[in-house]
Formats: sequence, C-alpha cells, structure tokens
Amino acid sequence: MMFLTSVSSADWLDIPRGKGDTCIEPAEIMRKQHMQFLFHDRDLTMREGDRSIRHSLVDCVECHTQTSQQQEAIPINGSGQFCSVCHEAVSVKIDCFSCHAAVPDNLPGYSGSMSAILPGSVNAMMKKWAVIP
Amino acid sequence: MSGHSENPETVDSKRRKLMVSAVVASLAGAGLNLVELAMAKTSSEATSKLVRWGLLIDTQKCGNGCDACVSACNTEHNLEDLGRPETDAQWIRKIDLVDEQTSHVDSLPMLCQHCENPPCVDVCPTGASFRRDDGIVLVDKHTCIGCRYCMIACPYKARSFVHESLTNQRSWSPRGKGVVESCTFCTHRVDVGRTPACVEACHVEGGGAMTFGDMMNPDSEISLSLKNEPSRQIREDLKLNTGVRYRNV
Ligand code: HEC
Ligand code: HEC
Ligand code: HEC
Repeated sequence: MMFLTSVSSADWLDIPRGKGDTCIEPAEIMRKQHMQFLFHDRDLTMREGDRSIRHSLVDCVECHTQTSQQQEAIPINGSGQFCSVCHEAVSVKIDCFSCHAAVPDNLPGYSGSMSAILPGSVNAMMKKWAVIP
Repeated sequence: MSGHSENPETVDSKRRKLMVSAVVASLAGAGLNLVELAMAKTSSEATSKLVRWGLLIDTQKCGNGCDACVSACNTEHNLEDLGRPETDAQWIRKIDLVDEQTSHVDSLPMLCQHCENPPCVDVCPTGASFRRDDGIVLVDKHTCIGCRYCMIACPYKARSFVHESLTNQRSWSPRGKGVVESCTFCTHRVDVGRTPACVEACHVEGGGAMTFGDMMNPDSEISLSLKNEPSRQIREDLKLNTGVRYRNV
C-alpha cells in the first residue's frame, strides 16, 4: 500500500523499460520535460548542424524500442509501445514518426554503406576534401 | 550513431573552437591570410560562416548513360520509386542540355544549387526554407507547411513535395508526407567530415566528374579548379551565386 502523493503519475502505466541503467536525464525529469529537450535539440541539429546533441530522437529509438519474440524491433510508436503508452493515456498525438524511423537503423548510418568498399585512393581524396582538422 | 552523451571530447572541441577564434583575432591584427584557418567542423560544432560548401561538376567526365549519383542519392535517402514519375521525389536527376544552334547535347546532373541568394528562401512564408551558415540550403521540415511556393520559385526545379505516406525511412534522413524536400548536400555526412553520397558514387562507379569541398578555402581542390579553369553557373543571369558549378557546358 503506497501513499498516493508518493506515487509518480506514471506508475500506473505499463511503460516498457529502456535499455541500460539510466536515461540521458533522471527519469522523473524525462517524464516531464522530454518534449522541451527534443524541440530544443532538434533545432541545433537542423539549423546549426550540431551532430552531438544530447536529446536525439534517433537515440530515444535506439534505447527505447522493444523487440518481439521473433527478435524484430517493434515500432516505438506502436500501440502500447514506449512513445505511445503515456500519450494514449493523456490524449497526446505526435507526428514525429511519420518522418523519423520508428525502429533502430541496422545499416551503418552515419558511417554510410559505401565507405567500407571505397578504394583507398578515393577514400584518401574524400578525406582530403573534407579537411577534418 | 548512438550514445550522444556529454563526453570530454565535446568539451574539448568547444574549447578548441574558442581557441581558433582567438587565433583568428590575433592574426587579423598581423594582416595574415586568414581564410586558411577555415576548416570543416567537428560533429559537435555549429556550422561556420568561414566555410561554404560547393560542388563542381565536369560534364565532360559525366557519362551519358551514367546515373551513379542519382541511384546513390536514392539509396542514401531511401527515395523509393513509387511508379509515379510525375510526383516521385527527386533530389538529383540527370538532364540533357541541348544547344539550340548546334544540337550539341551535354548530359549533367541537376540538383539544388545551394544558392547564396536562394529564391526558395525569399518566398517561404514560415522560414522553413533557410540557408545554413556554411551555405547549405535546406527545408526545416518541422516548420514546413507544404505550401510549395519554393518549388515554384526554384529556377532549377530542384524541390519535391511528398504526396504519400512513407515507410522504411533511414534514421539519418527523416521524410514524410505533406512537406517539401530537396538535396541536403548530405548534411548528415558533411557535418561529420564526409562527402555527399552522390560524390562518393561518382568516383567509385561513375566518371569522377564531381569535386566537393570548401569554396572559401583557397587551397581546397574545388577552389583551385574554379580559379584555374573556366566554369559556369547554370542560369548565371539570375545572379544567385550558386554553390554548384559546371565545367564544359
Ligand atoms: C542510453 C539509453 C537511453 C536513451 C538514449 C534514452 N533513454 Fe529514456 N530511459 C532509459 C532507461 C534505462 C530508463 C529507465 C530509467 C530509470 O528508471 O531510472 C529511461 C526512462 C525514460 C523515461 C521515463 C519512463 C518511465 O518509466 O517513467 C522517459 C519519459 C524517457 N526515458 C524518455 C526518453 C526520450 C524522450 C529519449 C530521447 C530523447 C530517451 N529517453 C533516450 C534509457 C534511455
Ligand atoms: C512517461 C510518459 C511518457 C512517455 C514514455 C513519453 N511521453 Fe511524450 N508526452 C508525455 C506527456 C504527458 C505529454 C504531454 C505534456 C503536456 O502537454 O504538457 C507528452 C508530450 C510529448 C510531446 C509534445 C507534443 C506536443 O504536441 O506538444 C512530444 C514531441 C513527445 N511527448 C515525444 C515523445 C517521444 C518521442 C516519446 C518516446 C521516445 C515519448 N514522448 C514518450 C508523456 C510521455
Ligand atoms: C516532416 C518530416 C518530419 C517530422 C514530422 C518530424 N521531423 Fe524531426 N527531423 C526531420 C528532418 C528532415 C531532420 C533532419 C535530420 C538530419 O539532418 O539528420 C529532423 C531532425 C530532428 C532531430 C535532430 C536529429 C536527431 O538526432 O534526432 C530531432 C531531435 C527531431 N527531428 C525531433 C522531432 C520531433 C520531436 C518530432 C515530432 C514532434 C519531429 N522531429 C517530427 C523531419 C521531420
């Protein structure tokens, strides 16, 4: 028997647990502020090209997607899945996953599918052009 | 890409950026050539006005039947062929330029020209069409309302509207119904020091016709080519100062 006041508002929902021990912020902060974090950091990547944002939607999907018994990733926005449980309870609708991948991408994303097969000379040229310090 | 936690490297690169600007400031006093200090950013840095990304395409090396750049782009961004060429998204396409006098045909890839004065940005009512500090012209799909003014304004027909719900998007290239989209110069690659997918493919499978790089750095391969050999902008009469240049047209 718990006191109602000590029960966090999310405790009565069956929220699938994320991978690892902790979230990127304490869970009680994430519950309340994840949308602010997402909107803020989204603009950093989109407008300024910052690729090291802390609150990346791609990362939420990496850690919070559930796997079926057939070992396939279940879309994170599916009914009862991580990004839907709470939203369904409070009648929030998000459209993020009409564009954003709702399952982790198995292809080597930012490292790209082609660089592995690039001939050394071309690879060197690409590196030279990019002039990474 | 995963695990974007605050790590010491992030802090360091921010510090380094500060140090670089300090160096710029001190050298400015000495009257030295500063532009060489402009360099590609690390993944955690913001885009810089000291960089302008550009692409030079040598149409003589661009094979007539070759579409390596087009298919690489389609794969990278999962631009699926829905069998409706009128409306299917197209970020880069091969076109034939015909000289009306001589009937000479040049085959070349057409894509967003990443203009310095982009008409698409001028007409956008929400600010979704914008130009990054490093010259890359983008649609912020989070603010795009799908009005398509930009598509009409673009002299190069470089933009597409997504008419249908999509599936199987790549994590690095979110795409969806109801917004306009176009070539991003593969910001997801360029931001981490890699070249766009089309350029890579052109060198691996195609004729090696594409040179990508920083047009503000006088020592970059693209700057040297632009300086030493003639090149053109398509529709240079519009004075858009394009980031995509062509040779031998
Ligand atoms: C490194 C893996 C990881 C990443 C990345 C991650 N999470 Fe988490 N998240 C977790 C774990 C583990 C928990 C459970 C933590 C706990 O109970 O203290 C959690 C908890 C949460 C909770 C609270 C859930 C509850 O049961 O009340 C929310 C909300 C949340 N995460 C949202 C997000 C969002 C939004 C993102 C992306 C911006 C994200 N998380 C990214 C691992 C991650
Ligand atoms: C612990 C419950 C919980 C979880 C898990 C959760 N959300 Fe939320 N989310 C909420 C609540 C509650 C709101 C509404 C807050 C409000 O309106 O003040 C909300 C609102 C949002 C909003 C803002 C919607 C708008 O129209 O302003 C976004 C975006 C969002 N969530 C994204 C996500 C994503 C992405 C995930 C999965 C990674 C997720 N949320 C998981 C509880 C949750
Ligand atoms: C119409 C398509 C579209 C919709 C809808 C959309 N996005 Fe995006 N989003 C994009 C594109 C395109 C990018 C740029 C991706 C890149 O450059 O890597 C992006 C980037 C982001 C990023 C930075 C990349 C990263 O690491 O995750 C975040 C965060 C983000 N979006 C959050 C959201 C959230 C939250 C929602 C829902 C409220 C949303 N987006 C809805 C298209 C969309």
